[in-house]
Amino acid sequence: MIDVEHLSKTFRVARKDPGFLGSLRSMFRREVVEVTAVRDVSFRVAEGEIVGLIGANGAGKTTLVKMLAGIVHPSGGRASVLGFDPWARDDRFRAQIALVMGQKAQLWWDLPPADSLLLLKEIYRLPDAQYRDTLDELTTVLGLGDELRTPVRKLSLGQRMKAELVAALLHRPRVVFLDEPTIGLDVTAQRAVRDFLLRYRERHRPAIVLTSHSMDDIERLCPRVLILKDGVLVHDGALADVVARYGDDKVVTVTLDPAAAAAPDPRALDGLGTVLETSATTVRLRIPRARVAAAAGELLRRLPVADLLIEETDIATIIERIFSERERPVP
Amino acid sequence: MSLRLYLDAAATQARRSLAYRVDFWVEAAVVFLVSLGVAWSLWTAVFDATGAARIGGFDRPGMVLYVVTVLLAAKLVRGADLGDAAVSSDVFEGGLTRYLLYPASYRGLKYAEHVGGLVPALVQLVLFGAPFLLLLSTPEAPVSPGSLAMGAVSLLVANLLCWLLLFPFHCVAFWAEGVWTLVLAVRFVGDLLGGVMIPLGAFPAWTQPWHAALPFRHLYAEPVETLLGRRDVATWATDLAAAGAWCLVLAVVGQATFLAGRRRYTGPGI
Repeated sequence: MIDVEHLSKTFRVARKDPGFLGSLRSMFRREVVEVTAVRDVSFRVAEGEIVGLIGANGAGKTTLVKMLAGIVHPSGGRASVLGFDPWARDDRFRAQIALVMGQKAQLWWDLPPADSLLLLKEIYRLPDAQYRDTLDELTTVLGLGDELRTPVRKLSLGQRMKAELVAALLHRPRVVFLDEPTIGLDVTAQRAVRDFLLRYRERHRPAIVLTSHSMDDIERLCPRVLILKDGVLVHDGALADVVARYGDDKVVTVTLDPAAAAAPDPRALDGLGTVLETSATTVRLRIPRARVAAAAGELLRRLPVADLLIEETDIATIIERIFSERERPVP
Repeated sequence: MSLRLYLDAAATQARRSLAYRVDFWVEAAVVFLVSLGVAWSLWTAVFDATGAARIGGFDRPGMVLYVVTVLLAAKLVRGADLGDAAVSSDVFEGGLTRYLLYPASYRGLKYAEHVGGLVPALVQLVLFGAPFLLLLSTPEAPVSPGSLAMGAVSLLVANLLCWLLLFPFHCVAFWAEGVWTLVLAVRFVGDLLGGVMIPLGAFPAWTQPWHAALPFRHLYAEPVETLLGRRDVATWATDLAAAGAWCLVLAVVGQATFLAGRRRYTGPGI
């Protein structure tokens, strides 16, 4: 459904020195630099697949999604979505895709969502019966009722995002791009949106590309992830593979015997790994994967251990480590 | 192309523009009363100072009638050309993204919304302007049902012409981002050369060929003079055809500018 080959995008961005003099100087001469937001990216997404697109701020996630939705023209490479060149903006292509941007409202701010939905019905030329059926299905699953008759500007963020999802999916798109759909939502609303997306995927089998900074979103929704770093695709595969590939260490948590009643001597932990936490009751260390067994044995020998837990480093920490070099500013 | 879609887009925008009731009534009353007050004070002063009986082909009451009518009509012709629904705002703030996703013409939808956004100005014109026109019609401004009908058609074409004229300037936002001042400057030129500030007849004789050659007179002066019954059918039809030709030319220029600009569009939040 989505086939991307060597896609690149370079922006020309004006730079301005800070302060009044910088502003004044920029009136006469501006420094323009080229920023490569996406560099030689290739991947495929199949029908019914949910792919997580993750990266630090400025990594090129949104640019990539906008290129695939036909909003931004690429500087190089090619892409085919549903067999169409997205930038040709064929009506048949646009009638089958949706883009939801968590940070940018697509609904008309002054009007109740119901008014926007009626206009969307005409834009997508939906037959009355299909419109009613889809609207019923979406509003039921998302738990929307009277909110559809309340002006968007008076809805809570969670209600607005639900309404945005209804608007985006009203025409039953075969490809859905979701850019930070849970940003700013509380935990309950995040869970509702995730559950909805899973149910929607189950029923309609669209290809979904999801960008998110929420690892909960990624872990719950995306068996496969694409990791962008400085515009380069550094990982395309199962989420579990990220742990195997980049999770070079494990976290060992030792619960100390309460009878000891004192924090362990730091010297007892020398050479075992990176100490994350020590207290009278608990010791946590990050230990290279290859040395975990030996280190666990040493801990049992050196400390009054009541319990010992060995875990993979959590995915959020691993992803953070992949991103950690530096963040680029957004063009 | 679906007429129903564009009617729905216009109706949606009309609902948006009528969402703020207090704003609607304040603007309706203020615009009319301020227009009337400014026109009466200014032109009374001009007539008194010059001692002229006629200026630009109008006597004193005829001038007040013209100026108030042209100010009310200008709201209908321009619409919300600088508001948050303007094309340049879409480009600058990223609202264009939504439209680019729709399987419909951006320019078609935006113009339909533009027309829908005229509803408050139309209601205000009917509430305040029509009684004013009929009550104050003079022998120099023989308002009739026929002149009102022809004037209404001229206003429709003028509205399209105004939108198409400003569209390429809004598209400069693809290159220059903020173009509010540029659009405002073009609007000012249109007001000056279109007869909003001064009737075209009051300009020096040597400027008249320029008025005839440029599109601005079709925006305000011609529709208003037609409404006031000061143009015959033949002149009206000729001017209407000329305005239509300008619309075609500007539509082509606008399309080329938009297509070139769209390749540069990124929307905010890369």
